[in-house]
Amino acid sequence: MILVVDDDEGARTTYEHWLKGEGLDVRSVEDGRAALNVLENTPTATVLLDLFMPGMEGIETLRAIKRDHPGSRVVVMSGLRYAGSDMLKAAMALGADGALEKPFSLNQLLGIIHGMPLPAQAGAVVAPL
Amino acid sequence: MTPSHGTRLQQYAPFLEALDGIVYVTNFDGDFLACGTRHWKEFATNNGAPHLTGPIALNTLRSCSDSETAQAYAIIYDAFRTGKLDSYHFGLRCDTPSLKRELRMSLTILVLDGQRAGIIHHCFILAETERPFVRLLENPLAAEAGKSMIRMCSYCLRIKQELVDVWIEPEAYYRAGGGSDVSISHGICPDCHNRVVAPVLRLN
Repeated sequence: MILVVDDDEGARTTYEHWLKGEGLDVRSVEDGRAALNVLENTPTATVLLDLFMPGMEGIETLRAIKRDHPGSRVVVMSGLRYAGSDMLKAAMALGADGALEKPFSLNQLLGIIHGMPLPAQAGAVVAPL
Repeated sequence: MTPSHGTRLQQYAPFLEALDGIVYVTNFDGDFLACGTRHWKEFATNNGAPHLTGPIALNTLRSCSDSETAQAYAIIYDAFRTGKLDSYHFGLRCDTPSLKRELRMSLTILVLDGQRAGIIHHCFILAETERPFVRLLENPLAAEAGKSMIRMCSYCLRIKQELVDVWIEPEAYYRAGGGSDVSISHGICPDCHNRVVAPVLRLN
């Protein structure tokens, strides 16, 4: 399963629509705490994680996933403003498995998801910025 | 877009200049290729952005106030790139603090030498209404750490009331007790996502 974590409802709808259209099993939640709840109960291959969210922010969520769910790969996402690129680099340094700078296309998203190593090998940097 | 297309595009300059409203052409990645400079400069100057009246070297995706709006435009542009769209239009707001302003954005494919070469953006004002000053719109890009965050839709400028999950007009936000000492997170409200983005997603 792929878990989309983004506080923006439109973004969640878009990514869910894209990935379900590719026949992938997708769920989405609006914040880090909800994401961790899902991960506790559902095997999740990939987490698509927005870095800028109110409440439990992306970096904090990334740390928790890497600590408690090392079998899940994490692709971080960020916009161009407000030092988004720096945040993506920081997330990669913290163990994110891939990074996407918004806006991105469906092909870019699929490329990074399909190009990542299997969960057992998670931790490899596949999209250096 | 080939070099010869660039030359051909120059021939469109008088046409772009003659149209009412703001008219510009981008490629499918949002890079500016040409624009009708007269109305562009007027609009930029009247809206406190005189720095945008110089040589135009902008990218529409990178000029968006937030990543969700940029993502929405990228989805629409990709539909033009791949031939799923030849024209598209939607309404949006472009207020000043003291002026409620409704715009219409029309996008049309530009074909040169039989090839899809870019997108013509034609943006014009449908209605302008004066209103009491809304400080929240004075500097919509301002975001500061440590302040409470509110969500504003980039298309309709409505603000989300988190507790009741309702999007309200900026004026109503103040009437509901909202203040201006906040950080604004821009995005797209569900209504505007359904109106602007979802129809394009469904083309795939």
